[in-house]
Amino acid sequence: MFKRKSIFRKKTLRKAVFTMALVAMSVLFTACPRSKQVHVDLGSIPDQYLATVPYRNGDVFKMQHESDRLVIDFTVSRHRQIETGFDYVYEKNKPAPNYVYDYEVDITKCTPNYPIFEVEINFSNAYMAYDEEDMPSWEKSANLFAVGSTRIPFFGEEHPNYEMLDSLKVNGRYYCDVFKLMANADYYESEGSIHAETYYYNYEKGLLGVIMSNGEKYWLYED
Amino acid sequence: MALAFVMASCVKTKYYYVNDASRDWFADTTNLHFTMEDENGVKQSFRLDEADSYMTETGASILFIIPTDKGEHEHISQGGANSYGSIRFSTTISAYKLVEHTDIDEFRLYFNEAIYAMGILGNQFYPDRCYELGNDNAMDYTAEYLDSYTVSEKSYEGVMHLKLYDVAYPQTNNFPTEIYYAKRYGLIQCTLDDKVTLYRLPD
Repeated sequence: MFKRKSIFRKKTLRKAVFTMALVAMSVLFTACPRSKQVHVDLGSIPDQYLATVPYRNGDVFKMQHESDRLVIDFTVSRHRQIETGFDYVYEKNKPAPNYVYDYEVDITKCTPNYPIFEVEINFSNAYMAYDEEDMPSWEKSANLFAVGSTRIPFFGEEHPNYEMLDSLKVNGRYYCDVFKLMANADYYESEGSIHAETYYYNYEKGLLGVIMSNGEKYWLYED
Repeated sequence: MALAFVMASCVKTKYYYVNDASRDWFADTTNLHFTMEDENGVKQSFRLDEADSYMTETGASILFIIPTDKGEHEHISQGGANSYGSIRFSTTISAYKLVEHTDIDEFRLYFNEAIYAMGILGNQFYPDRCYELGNDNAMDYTAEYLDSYTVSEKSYEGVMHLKLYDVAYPQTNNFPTEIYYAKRYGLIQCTLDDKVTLYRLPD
């Protein structure tokens, strides 16, 4: 009889604790401030920025391998599309706004007629940045990919990954205002693979040259 | 019910494994790096980054009230790619024992959009057809065994030479039209689109 009573008490106690926990959790959950959603339309990429990538859909440009025996055609396909991004911004003692933003991406793909690397330039106006008060802002950014990657700078922009050259002679022609861009190729280096180390680029012609980690060079070839 | 139970209990499972001789066509190690160079002096890096081994089952069925046996078949595969993203290849050898009462394994070489399929028994090859992914037209090719073959001044013992002689169908770029594959090394030479040949450089 004594034992039965003890079991009954334990069961009642358990039920009470469980119910209290449930109520406490419900109160806590409903009391938490809900994150608000902020929709931002970043619009389209202005033309003066898009002009920093000179390729048009259907263009064909040529790159010559340093051996001089090989000239490779790169066929350009270029299009723009709207994409949607999501980001949370964490502010002290405030609900975290959930930013939903529509942005434009301009994609340029240069496909070679030879079994080597593609060249791709992705231009986006949704490169996420934060100001001093941790408020989000979105910057424009053009990134070039070719067995490594780099950011194509805008005029006057300070960036540690490039040098500015007044001119560069390539296959007997002079090109003005040339960016010498250092490639970020961490992934390929870790793989022990041949990768790009330096790109040469200007706004008028696009890619002027690529120097590979094994010293091989590809230069723009114009008839 | 009882009859079904008795019949099910009669089903035996047979295990089929890839022949040891077939395994020789795989490189000794994965995560292996090598460099290939073409006739224009373009060098590119390759890495074997894929290796797998698994069993699949072929189910038992009832044939004229007689239950047939179940089969467990071994498959082994190995593959790699160049860092430029223009070439990806892998080889799968399956213990399907294609012809009854023989030890012929099924050999499949996937190379970009091409599939070379054949039977293999030691150094004997039984070529089937070459297919392009998404294209029903099959192409003929030859497969021969070479005791040795030299690439970039290195001699390889035991080499498989595949050559496509009907190259009218491929619609995709970088289609392999000739391949040399060495025992314990894998890919040592390949010709793409009948025009660019890559040669493996010695380590």
